[in-house]
Amino acid sequence: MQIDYYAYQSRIRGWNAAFKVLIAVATLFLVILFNRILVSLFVVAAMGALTLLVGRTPWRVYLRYMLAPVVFLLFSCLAVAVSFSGSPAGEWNVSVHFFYLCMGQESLEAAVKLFFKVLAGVSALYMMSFSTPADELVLVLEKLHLPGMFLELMQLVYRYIFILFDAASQMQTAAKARLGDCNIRQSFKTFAAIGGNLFVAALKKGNTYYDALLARGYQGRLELLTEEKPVRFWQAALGGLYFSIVILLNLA
Amino acid sequence: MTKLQKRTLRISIVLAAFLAVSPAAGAMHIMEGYLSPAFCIAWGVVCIPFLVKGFFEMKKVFAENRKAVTILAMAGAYIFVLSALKIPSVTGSCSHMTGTGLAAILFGPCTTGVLGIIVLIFQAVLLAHGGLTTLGANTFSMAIAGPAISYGIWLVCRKCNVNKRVGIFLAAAAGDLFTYCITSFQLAFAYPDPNGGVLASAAKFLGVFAPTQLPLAVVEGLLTVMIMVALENYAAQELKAIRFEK
Repeated sequence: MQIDYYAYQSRIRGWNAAFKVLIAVATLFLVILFNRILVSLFVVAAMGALTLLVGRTPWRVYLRYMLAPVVFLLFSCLAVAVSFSGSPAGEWNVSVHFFYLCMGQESLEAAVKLFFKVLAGVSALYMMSFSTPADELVLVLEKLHLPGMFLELMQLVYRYIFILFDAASQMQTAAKARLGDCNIRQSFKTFAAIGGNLFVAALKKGNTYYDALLARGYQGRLELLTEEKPVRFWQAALGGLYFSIVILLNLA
Repeated sequence: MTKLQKRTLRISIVLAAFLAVSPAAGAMHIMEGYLSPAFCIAWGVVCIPFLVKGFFEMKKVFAENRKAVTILAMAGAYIFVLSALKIPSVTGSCSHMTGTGLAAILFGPCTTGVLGIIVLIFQAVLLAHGGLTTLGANTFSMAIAGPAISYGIWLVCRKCNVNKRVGIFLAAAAGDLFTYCITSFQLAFAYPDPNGGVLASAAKFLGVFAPTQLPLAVVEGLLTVMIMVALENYAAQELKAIRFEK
C-alpha cells in the first residue's frame, strides 16, 4: 500500500492522469511489440528518470519495488533458456543421466530479451502507479465508458481497502500483544481468526456505510469533484520526443 | 566424507536453495510486460463472456437490493486485504493467500470473477503484483478458472456428503493448484520450447514453480478451512444473509 502513499507525494501528481496512463500503456505495448533490448533499456532509463528525478520518489523505495519481481523473473527466464532433450542439442548441454539439459544461443537470447522487456514493462507501470493515486485512475477509466456500476464498485473497493487494512492491522497488533504468534500452530490460528473476524467487520461496516451514503442522498451514483489538470505544451512535447526516440531505437 | 555425509550435505544444499529462493511466494501473477500483445488481447477476450455473465448477475442482485453495492464492495476489499496479509511461515519468508477458493465458496464463481478483476487491477497498481497488459491472463487464471474449479469441487463434495471441512480444504487447495497449472500453461503458450513445443515448456514452468506453489496450495487449503470455521462460529447470520448456508 506504500505505492499509494508515494503516489500522493509525487511531484508529477499534478500532471494530467489520462496523459500519464496513456504514456504508460503506450510504452507497455511498444515494449512488448518491439521486444528489443535497446528499446527496453531506454524505457527503463527514461521511466526511472521520470519517476525518480522529476517525481522525486525515494530511490530506496523504487529500487525495492523494482527488485520485487526479480525472483519470479529469474525462474521464468531460466525455464525459457533451458530445455530438456533426449540427445545433446544446442550450444551448451549438461547430462543428467536420463536426459540432457541444454541451452541454445537462440533460447538464451530470448530469455535475456524477456528479462529486459519485463523490467521495462514494470518500470512503465511504476511510473504510472507511483504518480497517480488509484481514484484518479478510476476517473480515467470512466472516460473509456466502462459500465458505471463497475466503476462505482471500483471506487468503493478502493476506499474500503484502507478501512479494512486499518481494522486488520489493529487486530494483528492486538493478537501480537497477546502472544498470538508464539509458535507456528498458534500463528496459523491467529491468522484464521483475523480472517474470519475481518469478514464480520467488513459486512458490518458495509451496512453502516450504506446508511451513511443513503443519508447523503445516494441514488446509485457517486458524484465526485475532480481537479482540472490540463496537459501542458512542454509535457506533450516531451512525450512526443520520448516516443519518437523509442521508435527510432527500434529502427536502429 | 562418507556416502551418508555426502548425501546429507546434498540434501541440505537443495533444501537451503529452495528455502532461500522462495522469499516472495505469492500467488502466481504473471508480471507486467511478460506476454506478447497477441496473448494479452487473446486472454482478455477469453475472459469477457465470464465477466459479462457475472456483471449481469450482479446487476440483478443490485436491482433487488441496493444495499448489495456496499456489501459487494466490502467483499472485494476483503479479498484484497486478505491476499495482502502475510501468511505465518517457518522460514521467515513472506507469502500470501490468493483467497480465490474462499471467495468462490462465499460469493459464487460469477461474482468472484467481477470482484476478482477489480482486485487484480488494484493489486497491479497498489501492490505491484501482476500488471496491466497481463491483466487478461491473470484474470482468467486467478479470478475465473481457479474459482470455477473451487466452486465445482465444493458443490460435488456437498452433494456427496463429504465432510464439510474436507470439502472446503479440497476446494481451496484445488483452486490454487488449478490456477498454478493454468498460469504455467499460459507461460508455456507464450514461450514454447524450441525442442519439445508447448507441452515441454509447460512441464518446465510447472517444475520451476512447484517448490513454492505446492506447499502454498496446502497452506491455502488449511487456512481457508480455519477461516470458514471461524466464520461459522462468529458470523452464522451474516453467512445466511449472503446465501452461503442454504
